[in-house]
Formats: sequence, structure tokens, C-alpha cells
Amino acid sequence: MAQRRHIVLAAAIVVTALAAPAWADQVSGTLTRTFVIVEDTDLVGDVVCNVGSNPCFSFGASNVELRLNGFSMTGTANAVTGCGGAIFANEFGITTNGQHNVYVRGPGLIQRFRNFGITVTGGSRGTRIQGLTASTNCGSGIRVTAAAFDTVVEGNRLTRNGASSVGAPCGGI
Amino acid sequence: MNGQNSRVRLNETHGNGYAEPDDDFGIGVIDGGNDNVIEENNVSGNTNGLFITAGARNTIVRDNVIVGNPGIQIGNLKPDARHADILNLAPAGQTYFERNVCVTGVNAPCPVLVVRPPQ
Repeated sequence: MAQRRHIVLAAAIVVTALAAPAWADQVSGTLTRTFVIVEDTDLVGDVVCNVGSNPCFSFGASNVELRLNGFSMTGTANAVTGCGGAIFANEFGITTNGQHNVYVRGPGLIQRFRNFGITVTGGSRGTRIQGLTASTNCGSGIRVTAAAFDTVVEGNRLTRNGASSVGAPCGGI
Repeated sequence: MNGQNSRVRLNETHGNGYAEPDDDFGIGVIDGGNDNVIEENNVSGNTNGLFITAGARNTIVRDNVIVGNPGIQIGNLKPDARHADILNLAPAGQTYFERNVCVTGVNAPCPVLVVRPPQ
């Protein structure tokens, strides 16, 4: 009888472990400082970014992902005119911050950031950006810098991004 | 984009870039970019569709539809500007084009209008 109880208990533990979601941070609402991603992170509602001259999200660890789950991230640029051609330093929507094998997964909207919507920074390897829409950002919607390796940018929609800066071409990707 | 060994595929880029200066794009491979693959993207209505600058090396461009760049209003307002579906300023032999659909190009095989048979 005791052996049977142990088997039932073990089975219950296994079922519970399989049913429970992996731990992930959850984010929604207004951010007033940079959110540093150190584990898998889900948007669970729209996010408004009011973080001054800083990125809204910055990866602080490798091998983790940010899932937008159909929600939006919105910066402080004008909805119609963006920044009128200007770019503001460091006001990215998301930066990979030199981390490796990070994943930004849509669907979701990244809009109105006063610099790049997403920047894959130097030193990052194996970044994957998939299924997003980036619109009305004041630099490129998605930017991959020269010292970033093995980046995959797949299945995204880029529209109305760009700036008028001389000598700094930008646009969709 | 000026990364190394990147793959940009299955994206849609529309209406990106300013008319002045004329170096913005839907997709750009910028100085310092090496060994990148641009494939199966749909690119229209941008300042330039695909802009490959002089310092880009070993870029593969295949199976993209890159048409309608820039929009007609920019083309009319700035007829002397250097806008095109594909603007390739990399040295000869550094960009490889395969099966793209485009209408206007600089150092690119345009126009190539491909009609694919029904599947």
C-alpha cells in the first residue's frame, strides 16, 4: 500500500511539473526606466516607454527571449511625424546589449521610438528577430551593427521608419 | 544593416526613409557588412528599395520582390535624386543577384520581370 502511495505521489509531481509554465517575467504598463531582460520575458499588455535617453528594454543575459504576444511597445515620438527627421541618442525600443542567442519574438508592434526600434549591437551573436511590426521609429526599424554576427531577421514588417540625418542612412532594416 | 553573416528573409518593408538625403532604404547593406543574405523579402515604397553601399562585401540577394521604390511623389519632386529599387554601389563581383523582381536598378539586373507559372 505504501509503495502504491509513493507511485501516485510521484506521478502527481510529474504532472504538476509538466503543467506549470516555465518561469518568465511579465511586463505591461508604463516603464519609467530601462527594463533589463535576464530571463524569458512576456509582454502581458501594451507597454508605454517613458525612459528618457535610454533603451526601453535591454538584454542583460544571453540565451533568453522577449515575447511580445501581440502587444505594443510605444516610445515618445509623434505618431504622425516621428521626430521630424531627427534622432535622439540611445532611445531604442530594444537593444541586445552585446548578449548572445537572444530572441525577440512577435507578433507585436514596436513604434515611435526616437532612435532604432531594435538595435543588434556589436558583440551580439545569434540574435533572432521574428514576426514583429516596427513603425514610425526615428532611425531604422531594425538595425544590425557591424560587429554583430549570425543575426536572423525574419518575417517582420517595417514601415515609416527613418531619419534625415546626413551620412547616416537608415530605413526599414 | 551592416552585420556579419546575417540572414534577412521573408520581411516586408514599405514606406521607409526620407527623400533628403537620398540614402535611406527599405533594406540596406551598409559599409562593414559582410557575407549577408537578403532573400524572399517584399520591398516597396521606400526611398530606395535595397541600398548596398560601397563597403559591403559578399552579399547575396535572391528571390526578392523590390518594386515601386521610391513612391511616385518623391520621383516627381526629386527627379535627379539617386533613388532606385536596387542601388548597388559595391564593387563588381561583391554582390550576387539571383531571381529578383525589380524595375529600376543601379549595378543590378533590373528590369527583370518574372512571371512564375501557377503552382
